[in-house]
Order: sequence, then C-alpha cells, then structure tokens
Amino acid sequence: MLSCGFSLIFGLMKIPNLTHGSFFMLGAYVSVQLVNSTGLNFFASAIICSLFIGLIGSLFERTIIRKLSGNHQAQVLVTLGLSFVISDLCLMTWGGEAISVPTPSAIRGMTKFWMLDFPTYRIFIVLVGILTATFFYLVIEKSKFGAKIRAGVDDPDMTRAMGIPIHKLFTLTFGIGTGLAALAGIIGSPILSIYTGLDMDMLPLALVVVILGGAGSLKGSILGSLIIAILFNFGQAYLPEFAYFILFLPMVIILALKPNGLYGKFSI
Amino acid sequence: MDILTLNNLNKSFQGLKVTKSISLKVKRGERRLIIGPNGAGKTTLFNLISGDITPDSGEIYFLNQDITALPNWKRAQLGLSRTFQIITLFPNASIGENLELSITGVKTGKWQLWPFKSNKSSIKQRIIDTLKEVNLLEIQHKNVEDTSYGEQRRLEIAMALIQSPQLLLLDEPFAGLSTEERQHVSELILNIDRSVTILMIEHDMDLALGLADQITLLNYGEVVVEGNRATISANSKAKEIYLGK
Amino acid sequence: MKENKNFISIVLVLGMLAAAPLFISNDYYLNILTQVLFFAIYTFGVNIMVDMGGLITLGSASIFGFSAYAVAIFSNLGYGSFFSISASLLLSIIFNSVFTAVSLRSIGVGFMMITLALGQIFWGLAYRWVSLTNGDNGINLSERPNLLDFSLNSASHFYFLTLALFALTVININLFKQSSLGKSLVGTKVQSRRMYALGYDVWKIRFFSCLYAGLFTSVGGILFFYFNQFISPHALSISASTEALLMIISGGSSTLFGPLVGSALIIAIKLIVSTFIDRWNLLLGLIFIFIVILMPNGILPFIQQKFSRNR
Repeated sequence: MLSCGFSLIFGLMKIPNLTHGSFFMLGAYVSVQLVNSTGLNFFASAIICSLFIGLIGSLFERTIIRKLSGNHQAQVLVTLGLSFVISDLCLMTWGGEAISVPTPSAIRGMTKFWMLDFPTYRIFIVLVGILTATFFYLVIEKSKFGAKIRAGVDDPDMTRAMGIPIHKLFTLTFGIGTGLAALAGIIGSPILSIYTGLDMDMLPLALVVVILGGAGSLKGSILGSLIIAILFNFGQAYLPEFAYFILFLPMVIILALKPNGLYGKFSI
Repeated sequence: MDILTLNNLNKSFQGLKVTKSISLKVKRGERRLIIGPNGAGKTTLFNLISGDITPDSGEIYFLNQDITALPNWKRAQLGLSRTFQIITLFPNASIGENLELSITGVKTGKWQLWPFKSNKSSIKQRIIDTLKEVNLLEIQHKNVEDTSYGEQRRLEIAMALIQSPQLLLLDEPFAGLSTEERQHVSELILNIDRSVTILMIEHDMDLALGLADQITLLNYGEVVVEGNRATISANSKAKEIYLGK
Repeated sequence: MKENKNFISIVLVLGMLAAAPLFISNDYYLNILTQVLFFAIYTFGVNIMVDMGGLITLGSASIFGFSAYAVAIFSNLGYGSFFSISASLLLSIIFNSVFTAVSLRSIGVGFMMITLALGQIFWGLAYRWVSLTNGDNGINLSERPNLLDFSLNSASHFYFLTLALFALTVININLFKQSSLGKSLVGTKVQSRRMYALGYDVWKIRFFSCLYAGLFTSVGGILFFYFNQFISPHALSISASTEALLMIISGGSSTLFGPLVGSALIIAIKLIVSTFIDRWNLLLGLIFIFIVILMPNGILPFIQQKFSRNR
C-alpha cells in the first residue's frame, strides 16, 4: 500500500516523495490520537485520518511543490525538508516513547487456516492490501480517471496538449498517494507500533520497492513489495545484523541488470 | 573504399517502426545527402550511426570495423564526429573554450586532476586553425551565450571538425539560418578537405543538392531511391513524395 | 582574470583563518571554528559533484561515517594513527567505488533516490552490526593521537592541522576546476549528449570525479572522529547527509567559498538554537524548504542580487 502510493506519485510526477514515510507515521499518530480522544471506532478513524492526511498532502503539493514546477531536484529536496518538519512535530506532540496500538477488538485472536493458526489481524491486513491493490488496479487500468493518469505517466506534454489539466491531476494524485501512505501507517500500527524514526524506517523500503519493481507500474510495486517484505523479514529473523543489508543485494542486482526495474515504464 | 556500411538496420520505438531494414554504403571522401519528408527517420538514422541509440537488428561497419555494439563515445574516438540539429554548445564558456573541450575529447590527458601545461601549444594551434576554417577567429574569446545563432551554427560544425574526423555527420547545418549565413556555411562545407567524408541531412534542397555527390531519399523509415541528382530528379516516387500525389 | 581574483580571495581568507587564533583566546570558540573547517572540507568534497557534476547526493554521510568508523576501529585494534588513517582512506576509496557505481545507474532524481536508499541501508548497518560498530553506543577514542610528535590534544594544534588540510582542499579543488577532468565534469552537467559525441565516457568522468570528491569527504570524517574522539551511527543518518547539503546550498554551491560560509552558518545556528529549543530537525527542515524555494543559489548571491537591484 505504501509503495503503491509512492509509485503513483513517482510515476506521474517523476518525484520520489521523500515525505512519504513521514505521512505513513503521521497517519498512525493522528489516528491513535483520534481514537483515544473521541473513542471513535478504529476503522472509521482510519478512513477519516487518511482523507485528512491526503488533504494535507494535496495542500503541500498545491502550494510548495507546484512553485518549483520543472525543477525535479528542488522538489525532491523540499519533500525531504518537509519530512524533517513532520518528524520533529510528531516528536514534539507525542513524545519519544513508542506508542503501541491495540488491535481493533473486532479482529483480535487467531483464525485457523489450513491447519495453521494465523493472527486474525494479519489476515485482515493482507486482505486490505489485496483489496487496495485490486481497487487501484481497476481504477488505473479501467477508469477514465485512470486513463488520464496513465496518459500523464506516458507522455505529460501530450496529455497537457490534449487539454487535460495536468496540474490538477498532480495535486489529486499527490493527495491520493499521501492518503494511501497514511492508511498504510494506520493499518500497520497495531503490528509495528508508532515510534520516532518510523518514517525513516519505512521510506527506504518504499524507495527500494520502486527501484526493484520499476517506476510507474502498479504490478511492479506489488511484486516489489512482496519480495522486499519476504527478504526483510527473513533477514531480520536469521541475520539480524544484516537485515538492512539484505535490501541492498536485490536492489543492486536489479540496477545492474535491469535499470527499469522488473516492470518499470521508464528507467529512474 | 566504403567508409560506412549499414546492413538491414531496424529500429522501433514502442511499437512504431521508425527504421525499416535500411542498408547503405558510403564511399570514402563522398558527400552523401540524406533527404526525406518530416518523420522519414533521418535523424533516427543519424542517431543509429553515431551510437546515440542502438538498433533492434542489423549491423554498422565503420572503417571496416563492426561498430554495432560500440558505445557512442568510442565511435567518436575512432573518427566519427557529428553535429546536432539543436545547438548543443556550452553557453557559459567562450568559443575557444568550447573547441578546447572538443579536441580534448579525442586526445590523451583527459584524466588530469590539476591543470598541466604539456601539449597546450599544439592544441592552441589546432584551435586557431579550426577557428580560421569557420571564420570565428576574431570572436574566439566571446562567450557562446553572447554569440549570434549563425555563429553558433558554425561553431557546431567547428566542434566536429577540430577532431579531424574521418566521417562527419551534419544534422541540418543550415536550419534557421539567413540567406547570407547559408552562403557562409555552404562555402565552409565545400572547403572541407576530401579526407573527411560527409553525411548530411538537410531540408534546403537548393543548397544541399549543390554540395552532394550522392543522395539517399528516405520515406517512412525506408530507402526509396539512391543516386546522384539526376537519378533522383527522374525518379517517379521521389517526385510523388516532394510534389504531392 | 577570474583566476587571479580567486587567487587573491583564497589567500585573503586563508590568511584571516590563520590569524584567527591570535584574536580568539577562548578554546571554546576555536573549537567551533575547527568544526566549521572540517565540515567545510567534507562539504567542499560533496560540492564537487553538486556544483560541477550536477549530481545531488543524499548519502554523503555514508562515506563520511565509513571513514570515521574505519579509523575508529583500527585505532581501537591497537594500530597507530598513521596506519589507521592510511587504511581508512584506502578502504574508503573502495567503499566509495561500490557506493558510486551503484548510484550512477541513474542521474538527477534517480541518483538522489539511490543515494538515499544506500545511505539508509549503511546507517542501518552501522546501527545493527553491533559486533563491529558497537551499535548505538558508538566507538570512543581515549586520546587524540600524536602525528609526527605534533600532539593534537590542544585546541590550537588541532585547529592548525585542520586549517592546513582545509587550505589543501581549497587549493586542490580550485586547480581541479581548471583541470581537464574538472572541465569535463562540468561539461557532462551542461551538455551530456554533446560530451558523448565528443568522445567522452561520461560515466567514467562522473565515477572518477566522485572518487576524487570522496577523498575530501573521507578526510572530513577522519578529522571528525579525532576531534570528537567518538563516532556513532548518527553520523551516517539522513539527517547528517541533509545537513551537508544544506551547508552547500545555503552558502551557495557555485560560489568560491560557499561550503565554508554554509558550514559556518549551519553550525552557528545549531549552536545558538540548541540553547533554546531541542527541535533541531524541525528547524533544519524549515530552513531547507525556505532556502530551496527562495534562495536556491545561496544566501550570498541572494543578498548580492537584492543589492544590485536596488541600485
């Protein structure tokens, strides 16, 4: 989910959004705050907060990023700057102690699945992931809106020439990508808990997934996420000292052999 | 002797076939003109020859060497120089500095970390000789961004000439020039020694035909007809392309 | 001639810096100046690629930190300072070669992405490979070394060593700008297509320039370790790489002493601010955004522009 959002923004706007991890973390923090303050249901809060953060993302794009239109490197630097701002604001607001988020009561416990017990919540996450991926796949591939995005990825100048307001598309896409990141953060929070530095733990994962899976391709992001998740988790289990390094190898191999990534539309 | 041979070059871009089985032979010392309507694939052909893009299939032989897999910068070192349709000069440097960068490209001593004075004098002389050839000697200290378009076009050619190439690819050298400037450039090209083979793309027929020995007409990525001026003028397909159906 | 003007400026600035200890009696301030100088060495190196090569790296702290850790590990294994420094520099070149070779699979924004990802990966490695790096606890140095009987324990001694290395940095980099590789590098930034056509192997130009630039970054890292007598994974963080970039762009990446000015500026702000609030990252981010939008060429050129417009 995180990578789909990232790939969406990168594919269309050619900007690796370095604030992506921060929005992931911010979403988790804000949602927990909302639930604790108002007693709102976990799922309702997830949706509300994702929309809210998505809106913030759109605002950021509209004001700051659009100002630097054309200068990709500057846009990337500005997202980096914002990530520091959000990171510290979170630290100021919620402190340095990790916050553990309780699994929503509706999906607690274990479920038997083919002779093995799985934590129900994890199954839920997998399902949400599949649902999101499917939903976005359908939207991008089958809808008119998706067609506009695909056109923008393939040929921004032509899209503009055809009268499609590409700036509005950018703002909307940035918002959607950001909202996705926030949603991912909220849903992941019962498992990961929320802590300072969560943003910088997640960002390189999104980066490596896009490099691995390829830019501008949803299929690539999904496949890339799977590979990275498996490698990272096994790495942490068996070679904890080198877990991060495990990410290095597939990234290097792909960059060496196929700079476009597995399914990328363009080389980064 | 054939200095350049193309065998069945094919190139597609995202499904669109831009170069269809093009085969071509250019003799040493020849002045070959490549013509064709817009979209015929002339610049793509140049890019394939210079190595800026790689063909899907086919071979390219330069000086009897198979250069199909050779990267573009290596081809330049073998003696294949080119100009670009869009001016690609270094705006913040002077004309002389631009030429210095060009000639260093085919000489040793590129990897120095400190400025050494070693073979500066021979390079300086070569720069002056080339500046004389293109008539830019008086303004050699002017920054490129302060020069006129005509002067820049001449510098484009000088950048390639200073490398003493065996094969020179001129991509629309007259584009955007005034009548007077066209005369200058035309004389310039005429005066280039026959030790340099010239391959040229150009739209301005009147000027270009006067400079060419042989002409290759492309349309839709294919060679339609090849020959001298008379052959082309007599060809019915050529007439169709240029005078309409 | 521009080169003569630069020569005079360099002599003046170095002269002032050499005379500084005469006016600064307090070791505290001398130490700050020392830090400004070795961070300037580090960022002058990074700026070779940013200004001349047009390649903005978000992982420069990896090389900086690697060199520092190498020196730390060798020192604590009992090797003398000469060996430790030499080994560190050599290993840093090898490390940088690998880092750069992977990063140069792309340029522009892609380069930024890869260097960021690599930077985070090596930061993570420094954190978790506890058996080698001691993880979060970092590595200490009990005493600063004697280099050829020159004790580095006094503030002024360390200052002069750093100043000497800084002088070498500025002089070498200015010579590099006039060298054939330096000019080629700028060529690849301005017109890479043209460079290929002229017979230049653009990848190799970028690669070797990165290695050259990395030498200065490594020297900065080694000085950092000896000065603080400590190194921890934080020195390889994205925060550290970003600070280096901020030093460059705030000072003005294309000006003669940009990285020095930027280094002084950022260190000064950091020191002043840390006495009031604890939120350096917030300020770092805000200043970064501010400068990128309003003064992308740096503070000095911005002020110069304002003045010339008012005339």
